[in-house]
Amino acid sequence: MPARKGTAARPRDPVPGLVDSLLKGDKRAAGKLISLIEDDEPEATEALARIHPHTGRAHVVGFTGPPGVGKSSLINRLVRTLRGRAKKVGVVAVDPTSPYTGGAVLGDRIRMADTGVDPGVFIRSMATRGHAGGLALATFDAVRVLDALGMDLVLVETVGAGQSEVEIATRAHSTVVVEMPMTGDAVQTMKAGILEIGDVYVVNKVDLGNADVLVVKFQLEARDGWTPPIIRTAAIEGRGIDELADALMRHATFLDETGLRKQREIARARLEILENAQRLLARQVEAGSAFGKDFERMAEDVASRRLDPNAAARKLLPTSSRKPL
Amino acid sequence: MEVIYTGLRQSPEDIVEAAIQEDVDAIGLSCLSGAHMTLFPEVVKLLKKRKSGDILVAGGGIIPEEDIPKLKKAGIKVVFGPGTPLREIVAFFETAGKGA
Repeated sequence: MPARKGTAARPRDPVPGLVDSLLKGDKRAAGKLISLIEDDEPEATEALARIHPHTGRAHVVGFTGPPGVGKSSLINRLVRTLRGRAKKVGVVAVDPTSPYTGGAVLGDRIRMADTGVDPGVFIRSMATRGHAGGLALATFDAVRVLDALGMDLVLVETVGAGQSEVEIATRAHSTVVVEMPMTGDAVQTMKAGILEIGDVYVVNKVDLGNADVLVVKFQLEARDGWTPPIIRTAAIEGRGIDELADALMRHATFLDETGLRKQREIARARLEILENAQRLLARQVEAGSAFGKDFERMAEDVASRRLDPNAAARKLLPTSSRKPL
Repeated sequence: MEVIYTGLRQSPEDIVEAAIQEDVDAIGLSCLSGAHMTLFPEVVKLLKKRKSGDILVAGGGIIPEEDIPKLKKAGIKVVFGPGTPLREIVAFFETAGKGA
């Protein structure tokens, strides 16, 4: 996948300086660090290691729902409302990369122009670059950068591809599912996922009428002691945005008081450790690496049926975990 | 190549702020109102003020021939007038992105 930016063309700043600037609230450093991570530059690992201890303060909210339901407009209004409550807000908005050209037009900013030069707002667009699930690979590393920048909330807007967007719920503290009247039928909302991932449900564009049908669909029983509220909004007119902000704040408090925040953080950490292990393992067996040749030999052995894939995989793991699984 | 479209009627301050948050390689400005002699150099000036003078600025729109040298002197790398083939503009940003 071609890189979005020719970062190699521009002089790169050393990572420690960038991280120091980030921690002082420098937006330019934040922008550069996100690029380093997004482009998977060699310095990204060091950058993330230095940033990690300074994260964990921001409340992360994911927004999902089909394209065109008004996620960008909703976030735009919500940012303004949260700013009115003296919260600093980061936004990471994900749009799809073209599978044909590898390029992307990122247009979420058009609907988020209201906050312009507000120093308490940082908006970053991101292309999926081939990653499935409605997010980019680097989305939550970008969230970490904005967390360390001192944002009180970070809002993540997913692509809105529709039905496979559950990844966000495993990463965010609160997940907001956005729908609008007059789309699909009852069966769409009953499909796996949508009714299971939301901590807050939003029926946007209520001015189009017929919102009650959706509101009834979303009436869910409590999970872990939390009944997902259903908020009716009309983002363009600004209706219901205060209620949405209230609901998110209530959910944040609920997570703190019940200890669920810690549980979610640990669940996310498990995922992230495994992902990193997988990435490291993949890097270890790349062509030209120390294990590259062994790996190729194993691949030939598996292909010629001298070895099975599971046994080959065990050879890659540390000795202690090599017993058959 | 990834392109971030910010929408119409952005102030120089908005543009520079977006460029910094998105950490772009280049900014493409379009102006049809005749205010290019004020707005384009203002973007370059603000970028320098934010220590981001390394971001390339290109301009386009209804721009009289005689303004082009002045704009270039003010730090606008290239100006594309009406009728410029799209291919030429794409080629410029492709080489700009590679720093060639």
